[in-house]
Amino acid sequence: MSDASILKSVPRYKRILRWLRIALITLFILWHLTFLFIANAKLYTDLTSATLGKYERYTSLDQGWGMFSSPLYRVLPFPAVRVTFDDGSSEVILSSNEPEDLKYFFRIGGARLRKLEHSFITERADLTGDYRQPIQQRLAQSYLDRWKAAHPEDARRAVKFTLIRRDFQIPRPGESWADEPVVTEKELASFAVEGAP
Amino acid sequence: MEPAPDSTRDSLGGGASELPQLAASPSLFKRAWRVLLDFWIAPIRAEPLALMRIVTALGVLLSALTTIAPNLSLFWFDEGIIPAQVSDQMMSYGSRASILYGVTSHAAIIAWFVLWMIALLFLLVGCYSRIACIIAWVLAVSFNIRGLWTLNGGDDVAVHLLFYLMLSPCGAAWSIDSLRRRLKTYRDPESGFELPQARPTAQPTLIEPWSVRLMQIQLVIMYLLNGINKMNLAQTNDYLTGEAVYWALNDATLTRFAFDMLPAPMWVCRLLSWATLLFEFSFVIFICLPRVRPVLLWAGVLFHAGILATMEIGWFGQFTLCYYPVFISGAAVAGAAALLARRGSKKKYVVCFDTFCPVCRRSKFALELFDVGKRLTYLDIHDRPAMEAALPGVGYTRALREMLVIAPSGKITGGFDAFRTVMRVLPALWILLPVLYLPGAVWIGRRIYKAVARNRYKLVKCDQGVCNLHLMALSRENLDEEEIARVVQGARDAAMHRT
Repeated sequence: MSDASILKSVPRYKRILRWLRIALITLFILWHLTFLFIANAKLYTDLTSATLGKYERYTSLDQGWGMFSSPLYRVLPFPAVRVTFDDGSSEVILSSNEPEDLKYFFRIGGARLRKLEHSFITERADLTGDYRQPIQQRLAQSYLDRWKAAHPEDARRAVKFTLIRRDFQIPRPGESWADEPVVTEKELASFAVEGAP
Repeated sequence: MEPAPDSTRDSLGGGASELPQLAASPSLFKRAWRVLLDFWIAPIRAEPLALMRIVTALGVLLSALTTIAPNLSLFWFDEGIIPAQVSDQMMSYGSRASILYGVTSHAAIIAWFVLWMIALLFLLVGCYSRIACIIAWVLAVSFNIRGLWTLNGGDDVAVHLLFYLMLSPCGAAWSIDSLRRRLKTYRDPESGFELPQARPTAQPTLIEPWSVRLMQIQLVIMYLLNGINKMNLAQTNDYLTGEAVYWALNDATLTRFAFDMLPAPMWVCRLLSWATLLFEFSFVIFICLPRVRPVLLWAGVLFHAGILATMEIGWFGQFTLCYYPVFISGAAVAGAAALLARRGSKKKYVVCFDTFCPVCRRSKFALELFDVGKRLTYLDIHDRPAMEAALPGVGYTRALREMLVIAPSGKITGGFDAFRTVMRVLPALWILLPVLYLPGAVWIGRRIYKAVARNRYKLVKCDQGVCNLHLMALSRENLDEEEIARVVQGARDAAMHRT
């Protein structure tokens, strides 16, 4: 049987469905390739943002790749929280991600917490009135909870959190880490402890 | 899709030798058009995609179990660091969608997480692959959006992988779906008898390539953009000066260990910085060349393994490697799978089975589908001289009652134990093996096996003398040899006559 006669033997509706499928797949491929180009070349306009941009966000196909882009960090930022107690005393609680000794540590896990902490010390840190402020509040509270677990006998009551960024300068090539590296502390935001008087 | 005779096409569209018509094409335009068409529509083998499905499902499963499950209360519960209300507001502002929108109940979040894990298990074994992948993708997006501030690049790549797999026929090979499809094609011989030789190897499954092409393009774009962003010339470029790896290894916010514990000499840092650039741009430019591709893929494996060893940045590297199988040719993936399945041994296990029994013939067909490494050979229990030679001292009655397996060492196992032996030999069935070693599994398994074996001629239509022989064997310990020979010969003759 020749190809033509085989084709003729296929019902008409099936042929239409087949062509419809091919057309839909082709359209989708073109759409997706356009999206990949626009999103990665950062060529979003109002129109493409309303169409391809929504496609990117609703499908979570976020583009914009740039792992370890140049220039790399010369300064290491670690968050910390200064807790002020009701008697006026205070404690600085370091991030669990900050090594006690920058010359000797080993790390497994903790990437999610690091990412969250990082996004709140490098973006605009004072989030007063911002919908994300509760995250900052609870992050600070988690530091306090960790500290309280280590100091169960301490009866002081926390009244204020101050979010701090601790910056360490990475030694230049040829130099080495000091035994006690210089740290620069910068206050980023202050807020009352939830439920504090 | 029906397998084509030439099914060894390269997964990137094939080399010139596979496209002889190109040479005859009169113009450059026509040639280019043909190559383009071929790239998007010429069928490719399904094994690389199947491997990608398996590594992706396994990767997402492990990643979720190790980095999300232990942190559910910290980041995903309403009382955790990220309140549900904040997450919901972010979704409204950012045009994001999540099944977890408005969900505050712990039980509900745990239930969705468990469903996600189940979907990934289904995807892993290829059972209802498409539906499982859709569920896995929807839930991956949902958990990502709910924990948006905790996401690493790896979480994005995981969602991308599941999205592309969802578009593809990822269950076409190495899956329960494909096994089910192939079992449906099984036709019991009309003669009611089958010679014990293995069937010829089935033609490889072919699939439409367009979804695989999108995956390949996505990975190339990832490397290209990473390379371009490393070439930022606005300021001092750390990659061109060769200092990039030095600064990265000293970034104690994310390195796995202190630089001082294993200080890399500056010349090593420089070489690695330049090698990084070279790799990322080479991948984009040369990945379409089949001869260079293995080198690039191995370089990529080393590149990501190096990052994994020195950096704690989540699962980015591991998930990026999940794209790699779709750059390997189907023949190479299938060959590697067969090699692994043999595990370096060419020694065969002999399965003695009842060639007259329809249930046994169907089981043999299923075993052949799983036997990627061709470790099993088959022996007809009614072939008395061959059985005497292979199993001296083992009675015909026992062979009729249970499947017997002879290991290369000469050890003979029967019934349920033979079943376990066969499972151990076939890596594709290892996922079920732990069940057979649970406490009490032997007691239950032997009884179930005996019940099925005893009734196997009652389960199907059988109108031959061999069925009566089997029933007689069950009622009597020893049968008259002449009677056996007469019945079997009669059945064989009848079968041959029908054939």
